[in-house]
Amino acid sequence: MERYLSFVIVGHIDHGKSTLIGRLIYDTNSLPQERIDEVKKTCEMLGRPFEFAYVIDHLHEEREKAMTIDTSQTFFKYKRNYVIIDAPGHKEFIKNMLTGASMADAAVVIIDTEVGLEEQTKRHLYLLNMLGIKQVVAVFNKMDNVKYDKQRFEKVNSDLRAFLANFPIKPAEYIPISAMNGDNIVKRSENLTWYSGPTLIETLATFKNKSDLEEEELRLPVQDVYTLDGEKVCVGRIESGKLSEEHLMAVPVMKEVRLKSVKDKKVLAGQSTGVVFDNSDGIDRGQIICKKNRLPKITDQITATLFWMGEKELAKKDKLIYKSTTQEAECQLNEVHFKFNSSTLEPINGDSDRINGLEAAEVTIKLNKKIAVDSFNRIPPMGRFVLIKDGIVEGGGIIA
Amino acid sequence: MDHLDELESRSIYIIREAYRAYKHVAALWSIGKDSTTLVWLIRKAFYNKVPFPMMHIDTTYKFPEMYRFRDQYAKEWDLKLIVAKNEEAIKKGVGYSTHDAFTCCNELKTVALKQAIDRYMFKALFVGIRRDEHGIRAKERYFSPRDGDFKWNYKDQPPELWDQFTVKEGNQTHIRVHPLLHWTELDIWEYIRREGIPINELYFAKNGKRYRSLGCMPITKPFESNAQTLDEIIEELKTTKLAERSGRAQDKEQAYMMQKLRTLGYM
Repeated sequence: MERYLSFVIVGHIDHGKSTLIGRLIYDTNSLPQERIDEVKKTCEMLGRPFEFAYVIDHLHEEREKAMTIDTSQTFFKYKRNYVIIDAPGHKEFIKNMLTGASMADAAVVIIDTEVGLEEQTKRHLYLLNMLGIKQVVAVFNKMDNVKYDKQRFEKVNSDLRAFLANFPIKPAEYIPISAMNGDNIVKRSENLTWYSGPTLIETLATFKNKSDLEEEELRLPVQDVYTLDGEKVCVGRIESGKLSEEHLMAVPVMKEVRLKSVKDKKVLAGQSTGVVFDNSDGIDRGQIICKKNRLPKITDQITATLFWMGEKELAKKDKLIYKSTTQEAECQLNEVHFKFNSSTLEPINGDSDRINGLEAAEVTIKLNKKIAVDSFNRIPPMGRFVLIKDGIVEGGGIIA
Repeated sequence: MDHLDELESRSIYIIREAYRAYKHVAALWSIGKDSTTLVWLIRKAFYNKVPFPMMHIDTTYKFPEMYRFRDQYAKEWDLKLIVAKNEEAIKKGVGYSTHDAFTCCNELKTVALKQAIDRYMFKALFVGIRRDEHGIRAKERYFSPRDGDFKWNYKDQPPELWDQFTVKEGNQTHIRVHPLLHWTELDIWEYIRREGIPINELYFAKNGKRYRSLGCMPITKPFESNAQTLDEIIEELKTTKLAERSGRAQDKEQAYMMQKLRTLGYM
């Protein structure tokens, strides 16, 4: 069975994300009749016209305030299987946007053509970039509100291109749409005859699943060790590479091990497995199994790009927990090299002792013990981490 | 890896993460297809030596076929089984002939669950819900804390970034862990077929009718179907426009009922 393509829809609040999702599943015939009836009934109850957004905005508050609060996932099928991840466009819910976007293979950036680029449009683009999502399509929504005007579309389109000029992200297509009327989403629009490019669904069809990292070096972070019938079984998910009987090494403990058996014959990147070594003393959660001559960097100090989503600021004195795969260490900010606004991307000068919510920064972090890291560009799971403050994930980081 | 391998691997990863973090855990087994698939995955995660109990919240209104199935496989799979009931409500006569579905669900399921958690003091519970089942469930996280009043604060859920789950213990009574969140109904059936997971006979058509989702007998209705084999069920699901839980009365009795039930602690 082929894997589902998951894509996140991002953009500023009110630019039409929920309506687009409602339209996508409606036009691909993926909506049970009952769901349509339920939405009709709710709309009547609230005294509103049929609202496509209600297909996914299920929470009471979301419908009353007409605002998506939490990320949700919707499945639909059109020649292949898709999972749509809806990301809220409100500043307050940026952690929900990140939760959604971190699971996606691809992204749709939606922009209200009448309004143009706004704060969260830009911030979301920055975060997509940080998350390493390379397959992106831009849709210019509410074309009906600007009378399907080509000039207006081109103006906003050039604003977007200018903003993205310094980003690695390059959208595959720039598509004028109306989610409300169904223009250029699944059906080609008769209102937009000046546009000859592909529809949204045609563009999505060209996107691929994230790669499995099978060709990369072996990295098997140990999740836990079980004793089964007197035998120690190290369980974990192979994040990259292939498990084989070569000389292996557990890092950061730097202990050589030999593979005795693989419990369920699972040896490929992405698979959860259980392995028995000749001697597993000293191996527990947080050790990474690698090939002996192909090790990650072992260090207690990292330099990274950090995005802080906490409501409270992050100060140098704060005690934090660093988590990456199954590795965990206490840490503190050592140095803030520079900070910038995650929406405008403008540098923030002064006070290099703290980082405020929604700011991004280049930082050095000092850990209380050695950990293993790889470059995010090569082995993403080994080059990304979260920072936990008072038990809550408040920051995400990328190691170049 | 193909699609089902990916789903399986992710679920096993989550199961192992939760067990490592909380140890004192249990899985809710409703004897339906989803939670039976969950039990299957848990058995795989621990190589058939499951170190924690499966808990059945027994409203006493389940189908006889479900009780038979439960007892047979609890034995065959060597599971530690806990059967939990709200004895007090049952004694008081709370039931479908005298009370509405909301009250029954709340008293016989949610309250029964609360009592069981209090008694056994579980720190985390595995629950086999899926995002595609119901709009409200689409908003769930893999690790979902329930606060002291047993409530789900859907307005302020912790972020889940890169499989780093919030495992903090605080004033919440327990954490719900949802290893099947990313599966669809069709995925479940395809996986059942691939793995040969035993599944309750009620799902297969008899006299032109079958059940698609199993709940309490008085409020669960079968629908017209001739699907008698796994292949036929899978074919049927690929073409149906009927919602999965359309036979479950508690979803529909009033608007937002599911949201209300879930914030009160319903599974």
